[in-house]
Amino acid sequence: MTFRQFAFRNVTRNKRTYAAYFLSSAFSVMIFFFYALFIFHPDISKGVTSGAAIQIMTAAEVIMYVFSFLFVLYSVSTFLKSRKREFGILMMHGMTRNQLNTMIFLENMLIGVASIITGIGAGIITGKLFLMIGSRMIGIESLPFFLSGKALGWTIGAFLILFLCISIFTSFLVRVNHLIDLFKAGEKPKKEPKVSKVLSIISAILLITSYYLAATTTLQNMLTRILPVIGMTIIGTYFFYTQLSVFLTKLLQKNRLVFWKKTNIITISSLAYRLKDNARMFFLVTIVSTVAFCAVGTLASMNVFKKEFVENYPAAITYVAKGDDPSHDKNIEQIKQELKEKNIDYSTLEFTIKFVEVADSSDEYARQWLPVVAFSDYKKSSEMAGYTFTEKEVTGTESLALSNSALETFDPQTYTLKQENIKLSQKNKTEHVVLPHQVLFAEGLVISDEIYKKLSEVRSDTFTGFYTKEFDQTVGIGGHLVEEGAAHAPVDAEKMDPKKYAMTVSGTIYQIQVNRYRMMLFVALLIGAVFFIAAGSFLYFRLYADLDYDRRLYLTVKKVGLTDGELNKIVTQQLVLLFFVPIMVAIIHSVFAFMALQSFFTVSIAADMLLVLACFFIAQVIYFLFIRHHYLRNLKKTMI
Amino acid sequence: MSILTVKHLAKIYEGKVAHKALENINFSIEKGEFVGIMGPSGSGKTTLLNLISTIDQPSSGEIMINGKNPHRLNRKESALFRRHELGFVFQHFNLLDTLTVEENIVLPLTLDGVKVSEMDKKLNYVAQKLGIDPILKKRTYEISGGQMQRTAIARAIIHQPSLLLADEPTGNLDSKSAKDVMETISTINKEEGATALMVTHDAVAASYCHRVIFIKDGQLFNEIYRGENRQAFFQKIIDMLALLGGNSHDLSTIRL
Repeated sequence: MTFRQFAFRNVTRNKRTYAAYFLSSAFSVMIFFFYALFIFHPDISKGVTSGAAIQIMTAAEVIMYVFSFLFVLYSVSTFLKSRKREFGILMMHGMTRNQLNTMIFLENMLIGVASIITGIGAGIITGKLFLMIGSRMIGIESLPFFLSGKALGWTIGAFLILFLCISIFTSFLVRVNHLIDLFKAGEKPKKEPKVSKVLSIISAILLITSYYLAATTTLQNMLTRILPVIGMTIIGTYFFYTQLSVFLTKLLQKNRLVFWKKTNIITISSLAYRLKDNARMFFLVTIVSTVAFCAVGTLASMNVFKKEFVENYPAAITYVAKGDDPSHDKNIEQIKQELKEKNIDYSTLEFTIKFVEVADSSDEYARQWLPVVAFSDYKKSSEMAGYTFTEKEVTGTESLALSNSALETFDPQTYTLKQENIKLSQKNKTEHVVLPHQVLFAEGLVISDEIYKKLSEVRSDTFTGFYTKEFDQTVGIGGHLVEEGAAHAPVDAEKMDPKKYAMTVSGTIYQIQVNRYRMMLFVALLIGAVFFIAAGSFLYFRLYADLDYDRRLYLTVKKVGLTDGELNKIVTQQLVLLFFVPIMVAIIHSVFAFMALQSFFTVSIAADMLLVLACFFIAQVIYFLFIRHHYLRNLKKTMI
Repeated sequence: MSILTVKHLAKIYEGKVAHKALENINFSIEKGEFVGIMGPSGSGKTTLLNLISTIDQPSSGEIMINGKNPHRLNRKESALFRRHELGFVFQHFNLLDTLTVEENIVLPLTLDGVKVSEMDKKLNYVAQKLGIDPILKKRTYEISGGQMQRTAIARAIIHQPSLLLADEPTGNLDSKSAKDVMETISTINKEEGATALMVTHDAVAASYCHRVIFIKDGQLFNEIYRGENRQAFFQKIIDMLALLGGNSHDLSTIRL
């Protein structure tokens, strides 16, 4: 047995300890490789949204890399801590510091290289599937499998450097001052965990405050609140595990009715130790899972997106003709023609938008021309879009602000017109959108029919809406009239824009936005999976590190007379704690994050969020059952 | 020639209440000798062994092994010193679970970068001597306690150290295995001329030694030599322990 063989055997014969770490490293390599395959694919540049796709995937690569770095570093340092005694034996037999460092380096590199090979191997095998799903989600034609040298080189290079850096770095992590300390590591009776009342209370306050702030977030204060809330949650969570949770178990221990009841005495007494020992791991798992849940949850809210989209684009095709020009009739005729070719049933609505001159306004950004729409036209367009119309008619000089997106907030303004000094005051905003923001950049008003008739306009635009139920069928209509589904025309069209019209085609806009969303969801799903698996690996490792200690503990208790059933119960309770406390906390965190997210949407996202959280929860339950089975079997191997 | 010389050795554990574990210990061991150290619980036996085996630092005094003071060496030198001059046998065996029996045995040679063919030669010799050649390929969890301890002894002597240190080598064994282990150490001592120092509670185990040193409350108390008869020596040890006022508990491992 040479020295190299020795290091090799240390790893290969400890498969079980390293299994989870190895698998999740390999998984990270695989995902990294997938993205690289995509980025360096020669056909990718053909797609419409490919620029954005490459950007998002590159960002994903960076996130993956940074995360892998932290993950590997943390795992390796925990491994080293649990091997102190082994190092002690080796040093007793005359292993020098250099040899110890070399051994650790070799072991790390062995696992590193193995996981690179496994990850890339798995990546090559499943790469075709990934490219198929990926291109589907991005909305480009399915990419043929192409193994580019660049993708391969990047992945191998990046992870080789990662493992190399960490291997060198961790060699310095093992501090040996006195051999006797190495020897006695693990034998020392554990000290009672200490807690600080002040920190426990601070933790509770921080968590409650940030939950409260998150739950009451509105669109306006979102940006100012987001960072402090995240910061408070992270600090609060840390102290929750290191202080508050231990504090609570101690309170529980004082209650003898609970504490001295059956197996509770074992479960609860080791609870405090377990919480304190694993506090950092719990903290990491919680934060990592929360990030995973939120990332996936945010993008899964895409389902809601369609409902929201329809609210913003009531007409499948909106055409606003600026002034009189012979080209308008031609364009409208062509749209009708194309709709007919696609066999789409539609109805049209036409009305005039008047531009009137403004003398004075409470809105400092007001322009000199104000577009106005008659209430009856607004009502008709809402009904055409399929809404049940419930708004009360405006009379006299009352008016409604013309909302051009469902999210808009209302801030009442008044306008004084040059004509007869008519003062128009806004009563509310319109409940429905009539004109998407692409066709109307300015503030607009819906006014009563009588005033509308009376007003003389500076110029007028003609609105033509094409309404249909199957708006997603309109993809590509009027392709030469619009760019990415929309043609913009600023208010002062005559001066600034040669285009004589403004137009939106819902189908095209929808498809582009959905593709972008899907791509992000796709990326988030994979990263979320990596995070979730890494969190699982932390748990797994923790469990095996403590296996020996637990075995001794349970053996002692067993000698006192513990039935198999009771043992199962205690072990299950301990495992449930280890597996579900961090996940539950992460779920609670995410729920509040989603509450804040809700302020972005007018439609409820609760159902989609529930689905995402339930999926993660079920995955965790399956993982739990699997580990419990193996753990119990392992534990009982040495039992009487 | 003395292999081990201990002069004015003292160890004080600092803390809220300083505790004198050892005080003014003097003795020496000649080459080829087999010496036992006995004493009641808490008398400082293990502390003494830890000091000699360089895993703990003395507060004052001097330890010379083969003419060198291991506590004066730097980190690397002291590692190499342990590698070449010392062999250890522990109560809890301290074998590495990831390695097979033979791999455990050749570990000190592996660390030294010895050629594989030479390792094999030495391994076979030692294994035969200790009667563990049938189990060489087994893993540590597949063998009995006595076999584990003999493996540990093989590991401790394969590099022919100047001093073999044993801490309660029979403490975790049944009487049959304990007898095997003690006979093994005794044989190695006789046939290979290995110098050995053993800390033990077990009067039977101690009766294999040439000489037994007794310590009590951190100080040397007495020493007795073995004559021709091991049974008589055993009786003398028992008497001495009784004199030391050890609890009957300390004699509990007497097996006749």
